[in-house]
This record gives sequence, structure tokens and C-alpha cells, in this order.
Amino acid sequence: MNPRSLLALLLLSALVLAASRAPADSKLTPRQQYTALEQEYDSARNKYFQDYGNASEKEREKLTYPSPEQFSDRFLALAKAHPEDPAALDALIWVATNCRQNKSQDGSLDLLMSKYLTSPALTNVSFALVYSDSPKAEEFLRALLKASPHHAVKGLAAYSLGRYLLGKDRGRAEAEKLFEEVAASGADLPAYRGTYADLAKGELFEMQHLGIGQVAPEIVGKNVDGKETKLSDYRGKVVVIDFWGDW
Amino acid sequence: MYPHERSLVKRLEGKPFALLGVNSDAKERLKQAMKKEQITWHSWWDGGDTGGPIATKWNVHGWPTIYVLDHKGVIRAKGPREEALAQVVDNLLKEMAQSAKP
Repeated sequence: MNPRSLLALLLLSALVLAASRAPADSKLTPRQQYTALEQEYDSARNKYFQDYGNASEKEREKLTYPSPEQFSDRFLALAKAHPEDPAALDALIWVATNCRQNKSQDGSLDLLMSKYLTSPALTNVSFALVYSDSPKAEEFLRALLKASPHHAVKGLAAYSLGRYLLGKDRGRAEAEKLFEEVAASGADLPAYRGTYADLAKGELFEMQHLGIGQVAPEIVGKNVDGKETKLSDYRGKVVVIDFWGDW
Repeated sequence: MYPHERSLVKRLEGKPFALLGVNSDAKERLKQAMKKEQITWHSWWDGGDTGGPIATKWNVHGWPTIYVLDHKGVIRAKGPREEALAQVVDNLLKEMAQSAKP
């Protein structure tokens, strides 16, 4: 081997070594680490959807959706390692909103409560807790409602706490009070359907008119051919109403 | 849901019973689904998406959502599916038959 090719070989090995070490480079900023983690999860999820689309019905049964819980420890570790970096807050929000029914969600809520309750970025965390079974979710929503100076954060915390309580079959009176507050103050908070004031009014309507033992409200509407019918046309029959979609 | 609903409707043919849908699909999709899944029962078409007027008024957040009413129009159950739904309906039909006896 002549000296020139030896040099080339050495250079090449150095490059290969550097490349193989790149993913574990601890010099990535917390923000870069956060982005990399998020991308890793997103691409795992995209791969799942792609595989699902290409798979036969039998193969589909073997595919598993990449659970956010598999990533939660790394997001939490990032937040704990860099508590002063804004990426820490995003990492905690990621865990709180993506990981349901899981102790890592509780862990993220504890850290959010210890440091970030006045952040305006917590708006959407509340809604992710509506169906939670964890008492930590209730503790967090109450703390947020008390401490946040932000209208939107408070509005969603109040609505979500109401839904959380109703889902547990308790705190009806408190839930009603929370929904009344949001119905009065949440008309400027856009929701997935109308505004949070609309959603809160929907909850109040359900509590007041759609309970077991109450006469069902009238439905007037058209079928797919434009023919109009009413729910009361079916009085005298046992009726099942099925809100459905073909998805 | 479809096979259970089809068999429920078929089994209770001629009984004082109605399955009524409130559908949140686009119109064409609803037409196709009714044909493909042999949906013979009535569905209101709720405007083409999940923000339709009926689903909004009834505060529906998840699909399917089920309500069961007795023959007087009183809400008697929320949420039962499949076997549990058939059981609730059978009980209400029995109750109705008994209340009609002199």
C-alpha cells in the first residue's frame, strides 16, 4: 500500500467513525434533541400508516401502532436534563398531550405544575386530560385553573375539568358551574366545533335535557333523498338513535 | 356495528321498534355505505360532517353514540352496543307489552 492510499484509508475510517457517532452527539442543543425525538416518533407513525395501507387484512393484525409511551421516557429525560431550556416545556407538553393513562403523563404533569403553570403554552394540555383516569389530571386542571393568568388556558381548563368530572360520574353541580362560566366567557376561544362557549352550552344542554328519564328533544331532519321526518313520528315505538359515520 | 344492527332490525321486523340513524358522512359516502352495507333503516343526513346541527345539539363528541328511547319517547339508555343494546331493546319491548295489558 503506498502512503497516499494509506492516508485515504485513514481519512475514510475517520469519516465512517464520525458518521456512526453522529446520532449520539451530545452537542445537539436541547431544541435539536427535541426536534429529533419528535421526528423519530412521527416517522415511526408514518411508517405504520404506510405499512397498513400496503398490508393485507391478515398482515394488518400483526402491525402495532407505535405507542407514544415508548418515547415518553426520553422526552421526560430531556426535560429533566435541561430544565431552563424552552425545549423542556415542549417536551413536557408532548408527553402530557400524547401519553394517555400512563405514569409518564403523571410525571409530566408534576413537572408542569412545579414550574410552568403560568405559561400561555398550556392551552391544549387540558383537553388531552378529559378522558384521563388519573387523579393527577384533576389535580393539574385545578392547579392550572387557579394559577394561570391566561384567558384561553383558564377557559379550556374549566371546560376540561367539567368533562373530566362528568366522566367520573361525580361533581355534577361543580361541572355545571364550570360550563356556565365557559358558556359566558368562551365565545372567543375556537374549538374543533364552533367555540368553547358552544361546547360548554352543549354540555349544559345534555345535562339538562339528555339525561336518562327525560323525554328526548325533537329531531327534525331530512334523509339522503331529501325526505323530511321527525323523531316524534316514531312515538309508540321503542327507538334506537345511532349517531354514526362510515369511517 | 353494521352486522349487529342488520340482525337487530331483521329480528324485530313487525315489532314496534325503529332504528334511526343520524349520519355525519358526505352525501355520496352515505349513499354508498347504505348500498354496500345493506342499510334499510332510516337515517337523517346531518349536513355532511361531524359539526352537523343534530350532532351539535345532542352534544355528540364520539361516533357511534347510541341513545335508546322507550315508546313514550323517554331516554332510557345511553351508549349500549351490540349484545347489550339488543338486551335493552328487548326489555323495553317487554315492558311496553306489559303496560298495554289491561
